[in-house]
Amino acid sequence: MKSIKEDILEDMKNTCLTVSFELKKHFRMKRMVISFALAIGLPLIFYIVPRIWASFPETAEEFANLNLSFVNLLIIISGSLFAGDAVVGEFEEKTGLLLFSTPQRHTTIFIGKYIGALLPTLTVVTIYYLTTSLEIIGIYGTEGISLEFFKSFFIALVYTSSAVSLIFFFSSILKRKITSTLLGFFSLMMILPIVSSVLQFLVEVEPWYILTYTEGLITGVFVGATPIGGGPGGQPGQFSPDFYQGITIMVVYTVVLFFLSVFISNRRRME
Amino acid sequence: MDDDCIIRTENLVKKFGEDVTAVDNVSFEIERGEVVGYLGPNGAGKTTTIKILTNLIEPTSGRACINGIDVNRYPKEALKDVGSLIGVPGVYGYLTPDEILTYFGKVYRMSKEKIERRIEDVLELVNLSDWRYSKIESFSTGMERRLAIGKSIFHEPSILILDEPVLGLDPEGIREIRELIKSFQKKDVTVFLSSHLLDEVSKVCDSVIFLYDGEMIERDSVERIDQIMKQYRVIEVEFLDNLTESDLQKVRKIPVIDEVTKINQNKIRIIKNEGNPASTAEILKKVIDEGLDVISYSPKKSDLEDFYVSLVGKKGDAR
Amino acid sequence: MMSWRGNMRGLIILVIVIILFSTVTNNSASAYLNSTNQQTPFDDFDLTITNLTFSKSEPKEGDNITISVNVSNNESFPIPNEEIPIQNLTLTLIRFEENITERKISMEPKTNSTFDFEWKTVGGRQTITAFLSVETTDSNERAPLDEMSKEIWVEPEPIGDVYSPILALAIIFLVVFGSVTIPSIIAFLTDKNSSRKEK
Repeated sequence: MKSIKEDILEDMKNTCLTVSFELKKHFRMKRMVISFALAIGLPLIFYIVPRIWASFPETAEEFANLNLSFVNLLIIISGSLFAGDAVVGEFEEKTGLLLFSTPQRHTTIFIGKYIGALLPTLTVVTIYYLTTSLEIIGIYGTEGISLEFFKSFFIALVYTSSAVSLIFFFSSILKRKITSTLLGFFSLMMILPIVSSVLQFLVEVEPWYILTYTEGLITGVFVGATPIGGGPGGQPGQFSPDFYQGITIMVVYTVVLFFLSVFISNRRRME
Repeated sequence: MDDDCIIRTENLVKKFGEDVTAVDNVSFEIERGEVVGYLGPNGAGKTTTIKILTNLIEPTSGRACINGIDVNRYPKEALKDVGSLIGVPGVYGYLTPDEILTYFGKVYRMSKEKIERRIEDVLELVNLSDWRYSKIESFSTGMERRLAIGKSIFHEPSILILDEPVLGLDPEGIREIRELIKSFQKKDVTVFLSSHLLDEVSKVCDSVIFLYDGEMIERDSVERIDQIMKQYRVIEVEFLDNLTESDLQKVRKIPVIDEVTKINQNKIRIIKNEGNPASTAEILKKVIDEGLDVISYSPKKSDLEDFYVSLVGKKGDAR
Repeated sequence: MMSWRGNMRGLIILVIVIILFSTVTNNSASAYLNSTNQQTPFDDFDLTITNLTFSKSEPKEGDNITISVNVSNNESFPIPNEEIPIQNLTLTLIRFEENITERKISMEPKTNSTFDFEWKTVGGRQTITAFLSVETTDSNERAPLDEMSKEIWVEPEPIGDVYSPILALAIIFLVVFGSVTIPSIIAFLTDKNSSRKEK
């Protein structure tokens, strides 16, 4: 039998193989193209429209705040595309009969699939921020890129990880690709935000444990900008996510759902 | 443990829920270089056994070993020299055969040069050379099947586990697969295959294992089964009138008759439990003595299917 | 697993509840602001707010600033005044429909007075409204007299730091990539255990 070091190295290699296979799959299914197009196109709208028909906001923070309020939409769409069928697809399409009978631990395959969904989603978010930063530099100069911009960027990446984990979790427990993709999409787009609003406005409790509530931090860090719904200086009676608590919640969602997904996927068998 | 024992199952049991026992205490050993057929009707437990052997599912109890290594506990070591084809696998329609085989080549730790060489060889073997860079979504069912077979042999394994390998293939394709399996015999590759096509199995396998209702009911070499069935053990009898149930019972009571099955309203197949020609004549006399009017009496050379039917009949009677 | 149909039904019910709630409920923390549209007997009183100023033009969040409100009584009688009768002349400061503070004031005839209020600032663009109202002896309702609003930008405190999300990302990557080692470790420990038992 191999030593533990050799065993680990082999598992890592298998995981990397799965990641590259997943990335190839996403590329071939044109998911990368769609997501990258959105990541560049969405921020461009906030550049082209004011340039032609209106005027840019007074400050770079206002511009960033407005532009980046749509990054959540991109995260949800990309996450659903890349993670929605990651696990369930192998069982539904029976491609698992080819994949799972190879000399690899199933755990490494599922971890590879998770990374294969996470990496492109993070890349898409990075492209979105890159495009926005270029626009800010073009309009306001390099001074327009504030520390808050970087805070927002890293928070968006953490939130992306948690969103991907949630959608990946659905992919690991459900039986059909379409169900898992749609459930992931609508959970982040509507279901959780509605639950969060109900808790805030009807029950008047802070929904600190709801994932989509923490999304407010992405633009909430732009303290120099007029808040778009909630956030610092927002209407009294609404809640704003606490910075450190929000990040902790995102990390908890990411880690817990990741482990749960891999565990459940591993227990699933091609029966 | 015998060093030549490549595939071994020990008291293998697989239950699905409380009520369904798909594999019930199955134990067998397959030696190096053997080509073994795994036969049984739908739902007998063949695919379940194969899925356990390839780590697709875990057994409820017992274990499955390849090269002495527990498959479910150490899948990486157990399966590294195993090529498998299970059921009707899906294929990644948006990829090409070149991409799929390259991926699996890397999984089996083949070098770049070897992967390149093997892609050409394997695609030629399964008649898909012209489709190397075409997306699989444009393939027919037969082509997909051939690709799956190609994937199973891509890394030149010394053990092949095949579940219904000729499913979906035309007669030409079936013949090609048969020749392929025979070529593996010469290369000392151990082959374990399940099939419904008993005739095909008898042409390629050294021995067969019969499975019924999750239980292993018989294991024997094809040669010995052939010898057993060589004598005229099967007789087809056609009667003037339609047969009633009591008529069938009368025939069943005749000694040396193992099994009586109805072919149609007035025709039956009798399987004797021995091959003595004298008993063939004796059966005819006794049938006529029972007052049944025979218009045709045809002893036939039986085959693997008849052997299996007789085994299943005995098993059913025992229950 | 709940069916997606069940989820959709629940979703639709939630949406209807929210729409009904928002149309039925009127979040009137200061309902008397709405009464500015109503005609009152005091509409003819010449009592006005003439100015509203802040002690700091660019305060930071958490600073204590003074909000000064100038009120002018152009009438020839003092207010409050039992003869009219009106009482409880009240000056209220409001931010986003919520009272910051209020004070009962009195004005001599033909005078201007300045009233100072202390306010601990909240970050962001704030609109402060000074509202002047009276109560009659007949009813407890307040009648509006005048109001004035002014905006002030309060530099908010920066939220959080940049290192925390970077650290969070690092933790996530560590956990995810590190989890690849877990099956090997478990297998190693299990083997060790079994060989120990065999011995």
